[in-house]
Amino acid sequence: MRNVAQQGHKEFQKDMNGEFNEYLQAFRKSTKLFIGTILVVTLFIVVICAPVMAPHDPYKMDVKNRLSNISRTHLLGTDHLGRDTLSQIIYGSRTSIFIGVIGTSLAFIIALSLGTLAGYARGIIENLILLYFDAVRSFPAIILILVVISAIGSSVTNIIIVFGFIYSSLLGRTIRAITISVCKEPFIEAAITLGSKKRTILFRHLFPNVIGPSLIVTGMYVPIMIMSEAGLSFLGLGVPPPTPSWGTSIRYGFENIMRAPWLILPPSIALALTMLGFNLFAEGLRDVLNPEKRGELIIS
Amino acid sequence: MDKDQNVLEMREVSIIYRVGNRIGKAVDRVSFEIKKGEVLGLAGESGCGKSTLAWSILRLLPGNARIVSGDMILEGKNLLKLSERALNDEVRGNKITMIIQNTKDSLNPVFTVGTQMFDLLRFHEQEKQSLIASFNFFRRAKRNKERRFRCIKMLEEMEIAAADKRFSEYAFQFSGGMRQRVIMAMNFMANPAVLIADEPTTGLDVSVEAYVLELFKSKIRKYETAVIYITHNLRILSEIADKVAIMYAGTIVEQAPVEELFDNPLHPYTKALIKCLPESGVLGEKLQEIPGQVPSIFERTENCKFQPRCPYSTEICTQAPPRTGKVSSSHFVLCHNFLTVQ
Repeated sequence: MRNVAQQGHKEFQKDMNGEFNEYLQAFRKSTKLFIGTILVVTLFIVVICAPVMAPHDPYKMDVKNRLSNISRTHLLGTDHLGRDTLSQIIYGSRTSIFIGVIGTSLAFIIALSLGTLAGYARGIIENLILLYFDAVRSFPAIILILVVISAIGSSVTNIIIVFGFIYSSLLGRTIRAITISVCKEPFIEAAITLGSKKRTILFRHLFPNVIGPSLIVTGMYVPIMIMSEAGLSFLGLGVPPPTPSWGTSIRYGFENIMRAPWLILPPSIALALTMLGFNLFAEGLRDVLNPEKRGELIIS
Repeated sequence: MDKDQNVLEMREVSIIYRVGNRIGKAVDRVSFEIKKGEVLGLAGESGCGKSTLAWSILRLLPGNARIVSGDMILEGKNLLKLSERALNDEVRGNKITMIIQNTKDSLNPVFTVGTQMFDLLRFHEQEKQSLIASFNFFRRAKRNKERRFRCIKMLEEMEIAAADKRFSEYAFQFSGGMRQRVIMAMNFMANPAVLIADEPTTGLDVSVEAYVLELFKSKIRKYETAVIYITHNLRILSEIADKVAIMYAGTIVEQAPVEELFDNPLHPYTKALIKCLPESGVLGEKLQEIPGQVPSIFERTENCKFQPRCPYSTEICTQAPPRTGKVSSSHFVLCHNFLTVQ
């Protein structure tokens, strides 16, 4: 008996290796995923190693050298208060990623609980939740964000909370749709005929099946939130000034474009590369995780 | 329990559907009974109310359906008088289990097959125990080990190879036939008094179907489960059923032991159905079919519902509702002219 089991295990491992190799091959062949991964990984390295990588203290002002040109001490020049632009961008990545990731997580938690409940409960509860979603969705996101932020004041925490609530109502509708389609699956019916309680069906059968597809949709909200944060900071309503942020840096560059035209470029390029990285990463992953596309990639 | 006692008795059950302002009768005064270890085959075209009847026994009909009259007696208790809560706790998944249509997809894709079988046992053997006893991890581990062993044993009984390895695999790693066998294993593990099987072997090729059916039959004999087997395939019923009830437009038109039904069908609809089987056709000729289709639930009259399609219909068929004719103690026909139609 044991021998058979061991043999089975070995075969299973071989199978797993085969599958892993397949993924690896597809990963190598997919240019999109390759570039996307490099960009995203670089971004995360910069976020983690910011204190080591930044050549200067991003908060340290040096008014004598304000708006200085590219030089050996200031690789990307300085802004209107003489702060090192490169260090500002490196530290700014922390703000962006922090808001993007934590905001998306908050949105995901809210959307998952409300969306699944709406999809499963139906009736009056569903209508109330959908009413809330639609009420939030009926305003353009940026206007609503502006109104709420100017009312409660801008800080990183406030921005995360506002983003979480507003984007959760966009995400929540998608999750509700996913839930409804999972609800119609035969295995849910089978669970009902076996006398499962509603709680069991919701937590044991629905949640695990909804989380997978929802996570993929949720991933797209990280770049959206980074972008929104930059937009907000550019308008001066984002993270409060001493904290470095790409949006704020772009604003400084924009304000001083006549005296130091190079200043607007570095933060904009950083933002653009981040967007590109996340989008390529998502698209590439979609190709590699789809068995059909994966086959195409390996053959080509 | 006495072997001859009825496990489930349906008496004059009627079910209506309400769509908009219209009300239609989907099931009309259906009666039958099943004994322990007996297989009742329910056959008929699509839209005859077979599945509605099956779901009504578990009281899981859609919101616009109502059971308007009748009794369902399970081991002496009337199911229709039980509260929803009692029904869920005592009947669903305990006394009555169901193999639903699309059997192959009724395993949850995110848990291993073993986990799901294990859950079923745990749900089944829930006993009220003191708080201290629930912290007795040693005892719990022992019991879990024993449950796991029973699951694997059951899988082996359903002839799944390398059951202990398969136990920790996912549903998508199983073939269609294997998934159906796993579902059957789970149903028999619950050891129900009545097992409702709603087309459990659809989507299988003929040889696998025959194999699964054979296995199913042997397990029914072993566990002495009463089975309601719903299908539109009479050929399957001839293999598996002890008793066959032919349904047409919500009523049972003929009910008889399986040999008698195939040797001596009396209702014109039964005759037509048997004629439609490919086996009873002549080589080279077109297959038989029954002209027309099942009337929609809103167009049904009190009179014989098969009359418009019936080649033997006479004047009386359009004037009065047919009465149940008793041919023998176990053979019933719902037709005016069953004596003259030969």
